[in-house]
Amino acid sequence: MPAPRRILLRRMIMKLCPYKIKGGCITSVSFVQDFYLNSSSQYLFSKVIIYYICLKVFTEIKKPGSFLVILCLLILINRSSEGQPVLTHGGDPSGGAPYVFTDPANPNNYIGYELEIADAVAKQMGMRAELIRTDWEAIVASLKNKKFDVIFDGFEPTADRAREIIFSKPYYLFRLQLTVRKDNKEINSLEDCRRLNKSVGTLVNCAASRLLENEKYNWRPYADPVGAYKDLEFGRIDAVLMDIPMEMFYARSNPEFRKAGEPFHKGAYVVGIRKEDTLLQKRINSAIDTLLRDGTFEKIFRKWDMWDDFQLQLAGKTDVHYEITEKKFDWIEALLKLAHAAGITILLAFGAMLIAVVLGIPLAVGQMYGPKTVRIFCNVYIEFFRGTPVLVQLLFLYFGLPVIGISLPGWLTALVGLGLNYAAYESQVYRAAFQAVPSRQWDVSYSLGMKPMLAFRRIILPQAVRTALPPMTNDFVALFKDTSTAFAISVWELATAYRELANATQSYLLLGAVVCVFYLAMSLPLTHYARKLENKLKRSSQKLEKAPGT
Amino acid sequence: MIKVDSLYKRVNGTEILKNVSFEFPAGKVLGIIGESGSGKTSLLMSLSGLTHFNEGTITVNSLTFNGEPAGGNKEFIWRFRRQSGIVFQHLYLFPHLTVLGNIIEAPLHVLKEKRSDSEARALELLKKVGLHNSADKYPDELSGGEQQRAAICRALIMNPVVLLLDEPTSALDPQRSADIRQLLLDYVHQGHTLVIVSHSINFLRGLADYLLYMDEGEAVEFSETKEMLANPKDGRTKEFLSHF
Repeated sequence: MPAPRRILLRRMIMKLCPYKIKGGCITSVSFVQDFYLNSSSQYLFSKVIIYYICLKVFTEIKKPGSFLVILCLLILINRSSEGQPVLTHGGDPSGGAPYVFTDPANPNNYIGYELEIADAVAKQMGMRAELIRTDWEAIVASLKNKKFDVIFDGFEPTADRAREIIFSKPYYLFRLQLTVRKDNKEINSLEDCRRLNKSVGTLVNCAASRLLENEKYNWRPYADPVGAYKDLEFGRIDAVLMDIPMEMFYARSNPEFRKAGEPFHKGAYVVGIRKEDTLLQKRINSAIDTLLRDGTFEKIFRKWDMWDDFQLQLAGKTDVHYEITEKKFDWIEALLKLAHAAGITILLAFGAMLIAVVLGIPLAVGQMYGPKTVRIFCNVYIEFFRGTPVLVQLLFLYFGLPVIGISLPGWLTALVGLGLNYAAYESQVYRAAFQAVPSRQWDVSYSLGMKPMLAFRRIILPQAVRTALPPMTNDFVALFKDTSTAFAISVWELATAYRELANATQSYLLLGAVVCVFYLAMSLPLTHYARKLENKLKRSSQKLEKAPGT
Repeated sequence: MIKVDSLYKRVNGTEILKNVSFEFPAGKVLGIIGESGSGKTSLLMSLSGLTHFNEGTITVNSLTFNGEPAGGNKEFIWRFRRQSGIVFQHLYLFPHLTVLGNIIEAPLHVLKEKRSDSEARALELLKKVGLHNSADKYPDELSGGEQQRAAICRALIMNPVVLLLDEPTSALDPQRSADIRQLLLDYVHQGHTLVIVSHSINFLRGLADYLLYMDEGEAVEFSETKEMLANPKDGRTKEFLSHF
């Protein structure tokens, strides 16, 4: 478990804090702390960085006593990772209840039945289990890249995964449950969803998503179950199909929901193992056998209220039948999907930029010339949107606004959210551009008899636009890339499409290249056009550079 | 006629202009001389109606401006400003417009003239200053002297009652300086009124009919040019002139 080492590192940092250390040093220590805890102790790399930081800290404080402290700590850190052999297992704690999730009582700690299963299995094998946080979508790729030894995360065997890795025998049998809003009387089975063309949400990259995709349902992938059930509650989708453990944890107690039909599709949770680790597979299988028989698993599942008689099929039997889903892949379909996602990306980028460019004007004017209250409002707006991550803002808009009755679809939320965010940046571009125009230009205009509006429109604005255009182009390209944050609210734009398709094919490289080509094909013409426009506006100054003796 | 009566201007408690008074008839040229920071440019800005002042009055032609602060009679201020054309030390040509565009901007949009009329008038002016071949160039393609002439044309096309110039020769070599001087002389001979701020006595000699010596916001001495150069009355004027 990572906790003791984390505490050790904390202590080390606390010890060092009273000394005068540059701010950056502390930041890098906590970065490394994070990094260190996230990867396996077998990885020398993180240790090397720790050593390096300690050395840096030491050379900076230059006190002989501190050297001893650091030396002792280093020895302690090293010792803590030795001793019992470690079985590192990957799991995604974000929205991962009841599998692996952040302990509400102690946010520094993770809990979940999968952790207990992993602990039990490791103990049975005479090892110590250690959780490595990872991303659910890319969990197979991470396993193959040796970020951890095995996967314990409610992991289903599927035909496409079987091509990449091997599985242990199942330790839990789950079924899928369809959930709808209480007021919905139409939907009583998955078939009803197809017949009425209702949208079904589910977790990305799981058995349910494969089922829905292969059967060509109108479905939406979600990065975590919370988002799916929230969207169901807010009416953005009509039904959610989820493994029963998640359904139990997130939906059953919600009075807004009801079950639609009985559970179906018997699936299994297994341990994901790298292909070459057949020995490990055997050891894990025999450990699972023992733990199923001696009731250890039953105890854990009962504790988490997940036990049903269904599980009795597992104990003592060697060949349990369960359904295996498959993810088909077709390059033409994939390219079509990417093109569709690219279209959404373009829509997001252009829509958001339009909002930003327009809204930036009143913000800039209000900030520069408005009465005090307007000025304060504009400043608060600008600082808020610049000072908080756009991801957090999108999540806030998507899940926060429905609470007060405004429930926008995902793409519109992303469009408006990115627009509001970039408006703050554009306002600052405008402000700088207007301040770059000499105030004497106003005086000249006035002395020629122009009134303020005319002077602004004909004299000041064209000059400010010239200054503003390059940074605005820059912002637009940045915005183009920032559309990928819309993934957080399940908008199917290009980056989301990439992650999903790459997961299906495991061809991160090739698809990545294709997606980059898509992005470049969209952003290059833009930058090209913007540069032409800039040059057109700057033509005179360029000529001047060439003309000698002026 | 231009008349300045007991002018005071204060900024943040500092007196920038202290009790400035003088008067000279139309069709004449006034040169304002003095050290940097003596209030020359502030006085010029006040004459143009572009800044406010605290006490006193300025009469240009038949309009008397009492320096009322912002929010006063806007229409009056617009009319007062229209009477003068100003050429700043750094010119401030509109960089996004051609020379011709700079000059016809105000006639087109303020006087609402037809474009062909404005262009004809502008080209006539440009021809007089020898810039008609550069009409389609942008300001930063011009030399300093050409820019100066373009800026003068831009002010003149609005037919101002008085033309105000701030340090018209500061960026010019002697030859170009002489060209501008000749240009201004021609303009004066047509009966126009000029106010020129300059630290160069040589530039003003033979051009200005009157001189005003300013020091620390005060109008130290005001008299006809020949009189002041030959026989300065105030000690400070004498001291200043002795540098030339």
